[in-house]
Amino acid sequence: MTRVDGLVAQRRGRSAASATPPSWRAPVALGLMAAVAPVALGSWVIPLLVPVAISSVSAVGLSLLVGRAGLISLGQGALTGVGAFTAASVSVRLGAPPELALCAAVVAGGAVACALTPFLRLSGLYLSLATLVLALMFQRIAVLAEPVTGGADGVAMEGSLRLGFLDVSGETTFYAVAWAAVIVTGVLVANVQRSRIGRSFEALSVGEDLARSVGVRVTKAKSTAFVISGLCSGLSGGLYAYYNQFLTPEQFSVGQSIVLLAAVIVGGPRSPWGGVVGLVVLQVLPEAVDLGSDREALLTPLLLLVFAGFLPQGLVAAAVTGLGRLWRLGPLAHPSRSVVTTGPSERTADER
Amino acid sequence: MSGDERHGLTVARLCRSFGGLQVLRDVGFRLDPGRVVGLIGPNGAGKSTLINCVTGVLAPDGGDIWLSGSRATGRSPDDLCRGGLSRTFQHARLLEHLTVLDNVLVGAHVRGRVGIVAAALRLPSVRHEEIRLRECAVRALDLVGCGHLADTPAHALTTGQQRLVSVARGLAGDPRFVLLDEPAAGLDDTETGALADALRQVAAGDVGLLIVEHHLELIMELCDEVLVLAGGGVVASGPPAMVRDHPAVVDAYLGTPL
Repeated sequence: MTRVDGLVAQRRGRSAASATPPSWRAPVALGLMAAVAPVALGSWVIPLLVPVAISSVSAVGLSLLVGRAGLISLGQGALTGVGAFTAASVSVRLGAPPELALCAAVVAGGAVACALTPFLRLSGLYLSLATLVLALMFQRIAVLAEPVTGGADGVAMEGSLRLGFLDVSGETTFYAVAWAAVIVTGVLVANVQRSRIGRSFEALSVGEDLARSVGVRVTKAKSTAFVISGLCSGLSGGLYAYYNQFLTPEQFSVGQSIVLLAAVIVGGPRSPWGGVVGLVVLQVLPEAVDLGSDREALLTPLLLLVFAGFLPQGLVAAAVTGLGRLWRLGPLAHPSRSVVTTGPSERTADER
Repeated sequence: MSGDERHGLTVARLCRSFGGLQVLRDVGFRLDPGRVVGLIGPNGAGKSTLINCVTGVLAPDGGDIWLSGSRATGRSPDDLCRGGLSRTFQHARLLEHLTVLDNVLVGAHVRGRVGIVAAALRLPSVRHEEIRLRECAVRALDLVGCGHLADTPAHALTTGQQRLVSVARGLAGDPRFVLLDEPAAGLDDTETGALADALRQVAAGDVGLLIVEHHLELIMELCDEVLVLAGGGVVASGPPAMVRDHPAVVDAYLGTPL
């Protein structure tokens, strides 16, 4: 019996003392929607939703940085590029199988993020600037590293994605694999968020001094968050390489990093699934309603401004809160639920 | 080194300047497990600087700090926390979107061990650790009388409740020593009474408490010893009854005898 523990006898069995059960609602709902979308809307959505899924893998990792640790990274596009060119190099130059190339992409993304550790002593604006510099340098480095990246001319992949006995060359199969990757990545990141390590990221968002005061090694925690986001971006890049079949440095611009950041903020930074929703809004809706290229280009910055300024919790949390209120106030509401309480039902979307 | 020193928090001849301004001058005190020491003094006396130096936030210019027999001078705040030294802040600084229990769980970080891979895969060891940490957090909340608020979102708390929850967060890591920076600020009389009861219970569990506070009645009622800081130096120290009538204290801080 420890010091504080010994002071208070266990007066009651308390549900709060049990571990939070995993919530499968969000990944199951996402999986169902991904499965139903091509059937309900038509196969035309598949070419739109595959790139969304590939970017979502990166956005899931970014949500951990932005929504939990309060760190802004503008370098996710570069980390995706690292993953993509690594997959291409390992596949084309070394002739490795796709499974190995994808693993190499994941490791490379994590390794480059880990190499940022010396800069993680910087805080706030300066850390964001360091990631922006990474993003700006990446394209130049990729052009200079011609033996690996093919330089400005780019590199073409040889062969399609094949995972064990599964041939992922068809667009529908790739669609399924990409969304499976989103769901698996999201579940893993959500698990981290609900753990003691996730709470150490939360403490960071309040302030480094508070985090240190509860025993968090701040640089290690920041590095862990960056490496997780790097691993996700590496996987995203690897999938992109096999999907697009041709890579050039321009594909991994600062603009791509900003789109990912905007998606996370629009969808909801605290939920690992927020970035997925944000990417659907930013990339699919303009195509679906045919906004035109000029209006499309304005949509991302405008939505970023609107959500950052007026709805910082994002779409997922707003939708969950709104639906929760409707449920409590609606005719089907249970009498006890019609009273607005401050209990667990008020929890934000990330808790679900 | 005596047996007492191996268990206590000892601060000796601590000095700290900011530019040309000397904020702490040869400050020393000793905190033993189970004892409650009050630190009072006017604004600008150096109380917060002292806490920041002892907890590793600021490096002292001179002097020594010993924590449970180990030299603690120059160690980082997270290292000191793992060594059993906890603190609370002047502002509660809760995560408003989280529940009270989740906020207190942040303070239990130091008790956890599982790594990132286990956490991502939600292995049984993680689930067991989460249950253990939650039990610790619930006990800390019960201790400050906020057990009934466990599922309440932090943004729905009163200022006083936020204070008590931040104290619970400081206790959740099972510290040997807790440095509390104005824990009663913003509390009403009832909440202050609850806080005093909670702190007595904590001290009774062999935890040493250093309380920086302007609430003199609380300090005089709760503390075994009171230090009075003025102009960066200790102007008086001793049992509350002795300190309250000390001429230097009356001159430097209280103005009129209590």
